[in-house]
Amino acid sequence: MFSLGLLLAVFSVPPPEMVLVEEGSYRPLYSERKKEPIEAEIVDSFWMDKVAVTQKDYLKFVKKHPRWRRSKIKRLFADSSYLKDWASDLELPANQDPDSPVRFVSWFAARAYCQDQNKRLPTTAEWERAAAAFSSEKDLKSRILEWYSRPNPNNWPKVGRGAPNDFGVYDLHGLIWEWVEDFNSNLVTGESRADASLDQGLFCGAGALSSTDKNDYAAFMRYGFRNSLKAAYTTANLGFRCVKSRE
Amino acid sequence: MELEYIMRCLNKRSALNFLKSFLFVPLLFCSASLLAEDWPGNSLFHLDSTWINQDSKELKLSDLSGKPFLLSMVFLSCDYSCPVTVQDLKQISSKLAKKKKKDIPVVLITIDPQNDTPAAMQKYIKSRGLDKESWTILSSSQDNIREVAAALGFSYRKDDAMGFAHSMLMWVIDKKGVPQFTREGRKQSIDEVVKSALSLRE
Repeated sequence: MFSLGLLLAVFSVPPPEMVLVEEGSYRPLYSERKKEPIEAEIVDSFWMDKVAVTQKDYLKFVKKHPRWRRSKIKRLFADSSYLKDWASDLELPANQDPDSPVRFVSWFAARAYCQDQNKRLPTTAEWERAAAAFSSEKDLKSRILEWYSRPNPNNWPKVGRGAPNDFGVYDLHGLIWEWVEDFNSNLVTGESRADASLDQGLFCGAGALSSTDKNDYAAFMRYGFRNSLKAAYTTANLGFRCVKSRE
Repeated sequence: MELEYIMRCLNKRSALNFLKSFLFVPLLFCSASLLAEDWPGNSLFHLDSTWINQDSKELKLSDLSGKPFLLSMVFLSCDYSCPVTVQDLKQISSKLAKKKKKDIPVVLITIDPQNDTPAAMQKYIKSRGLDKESWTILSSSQDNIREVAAALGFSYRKDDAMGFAHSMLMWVIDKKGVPQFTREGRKQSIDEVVKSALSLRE
């Protein structure tokens, strides 16, 4: 009895700086299956970092792992703009808050960081599931679109400002774009049409692809953005946060 | 000078392999394989993942170094595009064999580690009539497969109806692990792939 209680306690206490995203459903934006409506996927519950990984956090990581420093990183793992706003290998950007999100990081780098913490990157389904949980905000979609249309700030704000969402997660919209583990799971781009194994049922090709919510323009933009990425890409507004399975 | 070179090679091996190197043929091995420092920054050999082949033998991608090879990503139970890819690879491989009398290896990486066990690989090699000497099928964890796919720009996802939806790509990789030629679908001809592979083989 005692040990069962202990076990329950262990499982319900969130890891530091993480919150629980409860089990729920996620409707993929597209499906190759010509089914209407698109079936929702069940997303298991998981722990998610409350905030995005900061400049300061990332500095600790590269101090510990020299191979991820700007001058050491192999081109396979990050393009030439990796951490380009940093002053040097171990010096944060002079004009940015150390608690602002780290940016100019590749998928490989984001993944290595999470692995180092015994965490992982969220899947698209997990990220979108968490990012949709704003029950108090009726006007979420237009707020997101308004953010998408704003240019990048010169001085990036700290992570964790403003109100968290229903699960207690901050900044899923309005700060940075975030890497997901399976960014390369979509086969719907102009470039990849020729090489995709599904000739029919692909985007423009057949027009048979069904989408969940044709009005969710913000979701289409995220989808398009993820599609345009390559694993070594780094850009000024792309960072990440980590998640952890509940076992 | 030579001793230093050997030591550099040996340092790369684990303690067990260190011993093995002494027991077997360290010099031959070292001179045949390339040192990590020689790999260009964009070499796939920087991926440190461990793979298993059809003989249940563990290997690193860098164990493929030293000569160019053909690479594709498939899943073995696929009956849509993968048989086409494999058929084309077979044809390319035999054309190469005719030109040089010696094959350039063909490596298939599976995206379905759950089902594509070494036994399934053996069966596949047999049923498709693939030459065991030159074909290698590799599997690893989902994570490692996602990683090499990302490095190669290969997209895929699980799909209930078809097993997987995935890109149809084939690469010619040079001896240092850098993809030098990509065939997208069947946009480029078989002869172009053959030409690229031959040009990489001195």
